[in-house]
Amino acid sequence: MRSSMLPCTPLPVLLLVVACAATPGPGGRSLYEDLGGQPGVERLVTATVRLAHSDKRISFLFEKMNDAELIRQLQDQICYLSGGPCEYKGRSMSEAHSGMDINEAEFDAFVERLTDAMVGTGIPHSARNRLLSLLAPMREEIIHQ
Amino acid sequence: MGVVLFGIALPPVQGFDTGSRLLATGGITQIEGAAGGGLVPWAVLSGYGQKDEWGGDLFVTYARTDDYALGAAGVSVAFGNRVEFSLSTQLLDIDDLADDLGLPDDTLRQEIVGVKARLLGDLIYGVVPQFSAGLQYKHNADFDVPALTGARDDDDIDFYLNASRLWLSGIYGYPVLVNVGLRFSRANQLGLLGFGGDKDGSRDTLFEASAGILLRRDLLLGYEYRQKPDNLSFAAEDDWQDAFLAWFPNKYLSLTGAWIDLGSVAGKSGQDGFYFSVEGTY
Repeated sequence: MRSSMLPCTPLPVLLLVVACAATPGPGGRSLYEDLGGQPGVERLVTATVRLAHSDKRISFLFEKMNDAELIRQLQDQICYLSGGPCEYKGRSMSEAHSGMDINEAEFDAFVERLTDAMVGTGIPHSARNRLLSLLAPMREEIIHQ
Repeated sequence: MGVVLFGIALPPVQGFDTGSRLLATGGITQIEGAAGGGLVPWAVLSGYGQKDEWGGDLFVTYARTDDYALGAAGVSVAFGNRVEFSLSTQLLDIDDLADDLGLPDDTLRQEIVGVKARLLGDLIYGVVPQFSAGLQYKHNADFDVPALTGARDDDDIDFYLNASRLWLSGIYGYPVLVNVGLRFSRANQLGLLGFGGDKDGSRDTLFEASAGILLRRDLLLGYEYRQKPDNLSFAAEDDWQDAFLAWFPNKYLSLTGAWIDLGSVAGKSGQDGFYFSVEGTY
């Protein structure tokens, strides 16, 4: 089906962005636009972090983080991945999650909260899945680091 | 988060947690008790248990065609997203056929014990699709009628291998599920008419496949095809197909409606009808 997912898997974030970003949606709009542009991504990321804090399965992973910094990094990254006018200057995914030893269940729990945040902020089904398909290949660099 | 469909609001279920895997990734329960679609097992394991978690489900299915009615119910449990065990029972109402032929029973019952193991890969993540292998031990509890039709045995084992993948971006952002499998079986009409027959006593290699699209996060529309053996000379056995719509209002419940086409069953042709299944997940 979407063969472009395959080459993304083992590559660092920067290459992944080149390989996968900005897959246009049905109307030829970028995913970034379908996410609601900068305000949409900001709402989404803020809601995701809030939900992650309230989910007892994963809240401990976020306890020691600086929320403002986390929100900024996630915002840049999603903006960048979705074809928006941003650069992601943060650490690589494996560096950023080093020492956290996130397991499969915790990863899925975060995806669930991210999805809830997308539903909650009114992002349509197709845009939600296009974003998830860009994030899914990062799983191997996030879990068990 | 509550869910609204056709104006019906369902509150979220509080108090106990299912596993962590994502909504709908446990599929529903196929007619022989394994996690899958309605007719065909998928490589996914029942419930939502991720590694280090467990889960499973309870299901009840009712199917009705022109001349038959089939009820099925069962329970499954899966551990660590690795292995699934299931127990189920089927009861087929053959009233019309029994009247026509003066048969000794008007219902046929069988019990099925299933085991499925995830071999490698994942439904969603990584480059390798999820591969599973399974077996279904079936025991026909009303063997008088199957014996009359030429069936050889009242119990046997089906083996199967399958691969499933869900592409998240799918078609314009609508996730697409594809499942293909091979079954090694000599079961006549799932085993309800026994195993092996006067025409062919050995296992056949049978192809099974499913395809679906997630129209919404909680709504899977799909189609399935299941090849069948043809072991009994008294009546030809046709391949099966179905089109289904499964609704997952939350991770504790799914409701599935389907149109099924079973072809000719025990000499009665044109057996199409409906299928309805309710499943509770834990």
